[in-house]
Amino acid sequence: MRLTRRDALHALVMGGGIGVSAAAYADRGATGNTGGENETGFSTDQLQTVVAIAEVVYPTEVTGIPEFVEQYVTGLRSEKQADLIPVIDAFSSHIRDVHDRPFWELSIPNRNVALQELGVDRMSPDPTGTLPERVRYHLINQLLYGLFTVPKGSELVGIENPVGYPGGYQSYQTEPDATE
Amino acid sequence: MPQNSTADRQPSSDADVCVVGSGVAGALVAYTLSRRGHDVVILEAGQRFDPGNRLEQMEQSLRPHGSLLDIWNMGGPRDQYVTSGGAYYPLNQTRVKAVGGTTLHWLGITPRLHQKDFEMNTRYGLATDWPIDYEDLRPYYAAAEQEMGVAGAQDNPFAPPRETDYPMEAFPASYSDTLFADACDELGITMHSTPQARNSEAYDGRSQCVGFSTCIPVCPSGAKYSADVHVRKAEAEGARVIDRAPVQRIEHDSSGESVDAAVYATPSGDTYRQDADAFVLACGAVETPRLLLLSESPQYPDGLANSSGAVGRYFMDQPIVSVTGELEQPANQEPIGYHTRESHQFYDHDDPQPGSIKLVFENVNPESVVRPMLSGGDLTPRENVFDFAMGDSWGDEVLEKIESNYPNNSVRLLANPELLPRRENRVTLDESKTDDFGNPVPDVSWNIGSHARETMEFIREIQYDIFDELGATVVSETDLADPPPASHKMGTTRMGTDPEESVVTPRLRTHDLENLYIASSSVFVTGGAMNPTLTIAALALKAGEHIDNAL
Repeated sequence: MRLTRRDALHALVMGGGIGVSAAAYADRGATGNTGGENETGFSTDQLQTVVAIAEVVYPTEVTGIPEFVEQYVTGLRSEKQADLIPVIDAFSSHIRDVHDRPFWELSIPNRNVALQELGVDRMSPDPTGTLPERVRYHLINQLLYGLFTVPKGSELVGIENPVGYPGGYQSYQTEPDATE
Repeated sequence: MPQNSTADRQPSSDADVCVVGSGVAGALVAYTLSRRGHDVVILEAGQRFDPGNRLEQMEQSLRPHGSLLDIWNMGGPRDQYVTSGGAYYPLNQTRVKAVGGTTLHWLGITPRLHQKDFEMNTRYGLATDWPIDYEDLRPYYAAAEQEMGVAGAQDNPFAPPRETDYPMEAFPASYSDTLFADACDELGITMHSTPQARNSEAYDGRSQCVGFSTCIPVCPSGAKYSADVHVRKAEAEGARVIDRAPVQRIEHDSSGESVDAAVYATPSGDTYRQDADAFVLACGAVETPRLLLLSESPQYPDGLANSSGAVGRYFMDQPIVSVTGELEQPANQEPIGYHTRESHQFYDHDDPQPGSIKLVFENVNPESVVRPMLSGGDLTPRENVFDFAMGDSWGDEVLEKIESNYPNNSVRLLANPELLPRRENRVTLDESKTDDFGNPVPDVSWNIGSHARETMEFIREIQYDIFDELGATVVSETDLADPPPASHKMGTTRMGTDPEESVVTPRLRTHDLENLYIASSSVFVTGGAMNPTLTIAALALKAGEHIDNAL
């Protein structure tokens, strides 16, 4: 399953990252509208780090991750970007201290191990907690939320109009696919 | 920016009407009166939420962090309470204190009561008749449906008479409804559409439902009606809202015949008095009697407007009876946040028992991928929705768990029985515990009673019959001995013609005080088995008319 920039736009509307209400979105149709600009902005290193995390936590069936993730995080509301950036920096700094290289230069299995060594897999998400709690809240769960509230993510389990996505109300009338 | 909106929480001078509470009742009274040229001030205990943040609130509700109560700032020191009856009452999970009130997180179902609900004593020798009947309320029901925007169809052979079509077409049957329809055909049970205050098309400047499927706790599109709509309309007509201004007590004049002021607190710690010519309490069936009881005076030692002793008494809600089953075929269509078919076939009854039943055919959503993914693959159903358990996996591992664990073949039936008003079911003050302003908290004492219990047993029989016909295997069911409430709080300042037995007149004015009105489900004499909100709205419009005439 290949993600596109359009999928990221869908996710951004869901996340409130674009200056458009759901009602306006519904009127406008599924093309969305990128609306405002990024006031905060990410560095290339920061974006590479986020993409590298997504490559660990997204199912392997998902392709087109860099394009999707970059579009998604740079389109988040500026307040949300401002929350993400210090967590990315603290995480990157920790990884460099321990592994002597940037996170994205680790192999995907080693990135998984690095996240586990930090304890991210065992911690509950907390926006103001310890580093692993913040990584889980601001980075991992934000990325997972972006993917799984749009059809491209939910279609992995056979749902075309996931909870949190304004795909219209008509789809509930259709018989579920018995083969799924 | 709404007219007259201000962070200044000082009282208005020369107000004609002071409305306490900005849920559906307060909003509609305020709108009705401000539209007719009266100066209206609304005092709201909770805060104003920006409708522009609802996508954020939806994300908050779907992500595993914190409590769902945080989304509308429910609970906490402000909302402390106790529950002392035989059945536990989870008050803070059922109400929102904010501009718009509990409609911010309601489901949005809006049936009318039936004729029989107003005549329970005449027909069955049960409970007490209302002093008004269905015909009295009928034009207000129609007006409330227009104001709120109700989608419905005249396909319900059991519905009370109506004069016009619904403002919008009904939502169509879901796929799982069609499965139930075959079984119900065999059993002779008629299914029909469900009137609901949710836009099946664009209405009143608000979006059509776009299917976010998160109606409870938040509708980001605005397709679901919430009372902040009419608060804004009232403001556009000149009304003023003072939020975060919990009213501490209502004070009467020296004669004890009319109310002088509502005394309210503000976040800055100041206390103010709002004067007005008329006062409307619209704080729901718990805070309305509590405020009257807190407003005791030497002249009214048992609480204001309580010469009958009925303030706080006859508290009602409807227990939920539900059963969940599995089929051998997929049953869960694409997600949606509401149900689309009901049966009111068992509502009107000839004999006193079993009582009225409202039967709901649920739309069970397929398992969301968001929750297990963001919870590290934790698939264990939560003990309650406020508790997020965490797993330690992501990616393919979670996907595999989901694929092997969720056949998405669930069906569910839900029903409400009517619960008769019982004098001992009541809201009182618990002097041993106080809120953040030092006021005694409400004690909600709720017992279910034999009439409702017998009706619940009949419901379960109907549900089993449908499941048998459908070929569904029961996997879980609510405990008949300890059912959750439907969050339909009613009673506690009942309407009547006899000042010895009731708190308000048929014109919604308190018997005791000539300028104090109540617009709330608290005035219900009986509650039937229907969702109460449309009746609350109709009564609010009626109250507004009477107050306008009196001013």
